[in-house]
Amino acid sequence: MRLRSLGGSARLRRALGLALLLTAATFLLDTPASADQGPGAPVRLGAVEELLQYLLIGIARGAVFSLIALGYTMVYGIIELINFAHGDLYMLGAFMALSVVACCGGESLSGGAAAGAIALAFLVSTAFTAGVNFGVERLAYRPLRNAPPLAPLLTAIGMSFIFQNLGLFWGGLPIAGMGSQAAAPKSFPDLLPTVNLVQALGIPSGLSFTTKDLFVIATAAPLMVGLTLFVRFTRLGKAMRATAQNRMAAQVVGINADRVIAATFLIGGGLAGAGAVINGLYNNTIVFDMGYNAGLMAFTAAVLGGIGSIPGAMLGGFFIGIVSSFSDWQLATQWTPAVVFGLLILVLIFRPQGLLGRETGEKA
Amino acid sequence: MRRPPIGVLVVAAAVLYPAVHAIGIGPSLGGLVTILFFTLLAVGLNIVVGYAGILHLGYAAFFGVGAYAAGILTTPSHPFGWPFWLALPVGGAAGALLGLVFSAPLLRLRGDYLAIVTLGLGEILQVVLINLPGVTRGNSGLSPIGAPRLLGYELDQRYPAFWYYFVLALLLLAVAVSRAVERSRFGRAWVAIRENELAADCMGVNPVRAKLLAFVLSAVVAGVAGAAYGSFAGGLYPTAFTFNISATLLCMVILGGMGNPAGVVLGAVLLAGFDRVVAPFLTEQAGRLLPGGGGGSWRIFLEFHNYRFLLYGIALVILMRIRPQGLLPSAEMREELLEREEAASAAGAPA
Repeated sequence: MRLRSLGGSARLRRALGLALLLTAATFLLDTPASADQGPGAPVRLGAVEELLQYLLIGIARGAVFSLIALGYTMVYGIIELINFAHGDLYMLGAFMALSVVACCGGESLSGGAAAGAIALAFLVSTAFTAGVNFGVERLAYRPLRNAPPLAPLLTAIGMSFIFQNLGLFWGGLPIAGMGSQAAAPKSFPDLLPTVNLVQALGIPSGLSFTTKDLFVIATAAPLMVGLTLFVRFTRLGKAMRATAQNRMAAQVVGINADRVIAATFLIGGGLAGAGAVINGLYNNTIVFDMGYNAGLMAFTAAVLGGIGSIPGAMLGGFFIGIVSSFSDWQLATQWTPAVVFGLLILVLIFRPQGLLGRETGEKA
Repeated sequence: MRRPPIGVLVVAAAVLYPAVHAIGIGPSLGGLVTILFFTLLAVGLNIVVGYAGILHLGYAAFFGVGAYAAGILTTPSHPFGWPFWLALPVGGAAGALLGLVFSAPLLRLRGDYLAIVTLGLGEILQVVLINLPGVTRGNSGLSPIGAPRLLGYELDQRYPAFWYYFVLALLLLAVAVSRAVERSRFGRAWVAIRENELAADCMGVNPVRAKLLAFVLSAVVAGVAGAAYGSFAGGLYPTAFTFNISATLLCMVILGGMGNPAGVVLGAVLLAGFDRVVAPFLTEQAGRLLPGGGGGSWRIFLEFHNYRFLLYGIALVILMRIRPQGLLPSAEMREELLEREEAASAAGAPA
């Protein structure tokens, strides 16, 4: 179910075929560089287990990419703007989450208090990023609705600078959790229990699937399902799809396009905030310039899935998560950005409509 | 016909500045050389952004390729040991080659997708520079890099006057080439493509060839600038060629006025001047007013170069809102932007 049109099953089959092909291609890049340093794997894993392990890592990572990618794809679907500042908005969400958690007591929290702090962080951080995105749309993008096409993109780049600089300054504030070095990475309190469910369930395997991994899936999945249902079944969701398809026609039938666009920014921003909290709790470190890379990864995911397509962004997010995890495993961590961006360039050149997108003819 | 005298005055002032500085007024020549490098790069970027209308977000990659090509050829830690003057054109050629290789498939894309691809290109180059330690020495940097020899002098950073005039000469050359190409048939082709690519194509203008020329020409400027920069800095580190540099250069072009080299020079001098002259001055004053104060994490608010991107960002956002053509736009660009805006606001009136 995409914003613009419903995809047929033939297209899905073709997309899955391509996905398989790309996955196979990443395996062909087999240089045994760091084959036996699986993170947190005390037992040596068999080849299949190792593959499963990196698949799990990729899925957890991909869940966060998916949440960010949704913000890109929804905004692009409606106003054809690459919201360059979206990754940095995600970073601001992470700083807000850290501030909330640290003010509640940080590392010392446990049990019910930790759960409460996490819930509060979700609430505050999501509301914060949603509000900021809403405000920025109102102040910066809305006045440019009829400007030359590059003006909104440049505004978004400017916003990205502003956000990143604010993140830097946020790190310099004398508040809980920020430490003494403004630009240094901040450690995010490790509030989630880390119990290896594979061992806890008594499965004889060296695989690691912890409660942390479960947490990522258990929080990201309902958000994605909820968004899908919202866009498909609510009045506002229907209005969003109509506006994405043809804004002028939507206005003619009485849809308030400005309201729909504002709602899109609100929802996309909120998802980035939720993703930021999940990432903070999962990876336990945040830094003011993390939004740039995360944003590029997520944007790649959105393009790969077919920009404008909501299920495409989810699929693309998981796909990029898995590709980056496999690249960490088979190549080396420091080559991963190059692999992902190389993939982005190849997709844009050879299949600019993405896996689930439709032919536009406009970009190629 | 007011413009030539102003241009001549600016050039004359720039040429005479070292003499003024010699009696102890104004910022140091070494700092100004950095500003001149930025200005040179911004003029080069303007060819692709301002003339051909391609939003290029990976320009630092071309700068980096030129710098590393020349650096590898001249550094004593590699076996080539070329003289600087031979490596300089090789830097330009390396930039051109990269531009040629990558632009051919990329130029099929349009608009924002093309912008993202150039961004990805810059990122990939960054990763390659870091991860090929055998060639680039990775994060530990390629150093030292041979300084130019002239009349028996080893002209490294101890001779800021040489570098000042050398980069100034490169800058004037880049501006002259820009102006010449702008008036050629390629310049007219670029205007036609910016206005309407499809129509230009139908009239026999080859958009791919015209864009390719812009891409390669600007890559040559970046490559030469990179080769010279490496020698001036004495060492090369991958962090000198990040997206931040590309973005800063883009801000200079947009602020000054796309398509007008004089405007671009103004934009570059304003932004780089803040970075290299105003911010250090303010930081020093703050340090004097609050001696020992602002310890710990507060320090960041008193080091004014940390406001750089906040400032650039605010400038971009405000500029797009009230003056998308920049401070000193070219006549055509102003017309194009205002015309389009009028047409759009007429069409979009019901909104």
